[in-house]
Amino acid sequence: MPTVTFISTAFQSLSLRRRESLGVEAPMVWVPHPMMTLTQQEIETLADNILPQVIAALVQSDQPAHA
Amino acid sequence: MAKATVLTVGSAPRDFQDYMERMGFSDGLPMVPPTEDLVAEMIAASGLNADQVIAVISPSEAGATVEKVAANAVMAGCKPEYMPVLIAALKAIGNPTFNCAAVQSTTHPCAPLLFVNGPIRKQIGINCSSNVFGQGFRANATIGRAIRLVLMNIGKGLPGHSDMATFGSPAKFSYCAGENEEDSPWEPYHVEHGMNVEDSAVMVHAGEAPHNVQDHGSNVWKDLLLTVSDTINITGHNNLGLAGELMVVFGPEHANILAKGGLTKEDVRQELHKMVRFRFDRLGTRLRDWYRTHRPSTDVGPEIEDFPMFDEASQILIMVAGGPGLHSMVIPSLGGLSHSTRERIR
Repeated sequence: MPTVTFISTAFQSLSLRRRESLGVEAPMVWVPHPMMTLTQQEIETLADNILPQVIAALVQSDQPAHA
Repeated sequence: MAKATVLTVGSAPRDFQDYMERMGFSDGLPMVPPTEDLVAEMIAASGLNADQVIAVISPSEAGATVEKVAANAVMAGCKPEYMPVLIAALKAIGNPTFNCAAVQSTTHPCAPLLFVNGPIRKQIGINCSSNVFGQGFRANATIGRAIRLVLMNIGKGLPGHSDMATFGSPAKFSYCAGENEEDSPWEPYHVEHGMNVEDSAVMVHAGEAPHNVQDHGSNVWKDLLLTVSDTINITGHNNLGLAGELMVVFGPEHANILAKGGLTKEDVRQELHKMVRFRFDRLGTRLRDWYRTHRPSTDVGPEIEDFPMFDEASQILIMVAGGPGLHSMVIPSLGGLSHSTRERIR
């Protein structure tokens, strides 16, 4: 099943190292850090903004996309 | 599995330190140069082949061979006779149940806490008594340090890159102790887990730095466990939101108060499990809602005012360590993402 992982920019280095060490093709979309403290409205705005990158990551490439 | 690379650096001690620091192989403290003869001595003490893989260490997923572990042990200042403890500890850390990847990369300040049981404690001088988590004992200090160097140099848990601890902890330099079996009123931890008292063993717990439980007043078990349970029952640790294991290290004097009250280790666990209930009104609205949905095993509903910190009593790990004095220690963990593991030392 196609999947995409959202990762905040602060964890970009870790996520790339893990992807490399595990040898998996895992599409990632970077979102601004921090995510955890966003309000519902901010989350919805963020989701709207990154939707094109999410679709692109799912259907086109295993390369990370930047929100 | 690739052999360790032989490097040539300048002969001055500073050259080696500078090189290791520049390469990112350092924990920040001076290290012993791992010359071929010292590494060979360490390998020999393991009784294993140099290229044997002891464990796969995350996040790099690299194999920790005996030779590479030996080099890190030399750098940490270990004696060769410590190798069997290191080998067993790394097998425990590499056990998927421990979830080394999470322990290495989390923002939480956990570190693999090693607790050693059995005759090897005395044979190699592991401190189990006064200042058990403190300075002054080479075996404790350097075994714990060697584990950290392996996690950095083989596992590539590098601060700010793949070790994402927001603060880290002094425990991340070295975190190794022995159970004070001699002054404990209960069976040792490894016996509790199916080994013989003559066996030597090491267990690993993804622990925060220890938090003291001072109680010089209580002399009956119910009063003492009230103090312990209230020290456990705080808002900010991972065990609240993610359940999982938490260790209580009873000082021998506290342990004996409990035992004189007729409590076994299992009784202590059951009593603490009953006592440690967390009130939702201690949490803000958003966190309260989050915990309600992330702790499905708790019996919570909107009408419930509190919930048990632990899903089951077995999540409370009990050790006895330290010297004279009416203190104990509470060591919260990474939470349910990691489970303690143990290995027999051979």
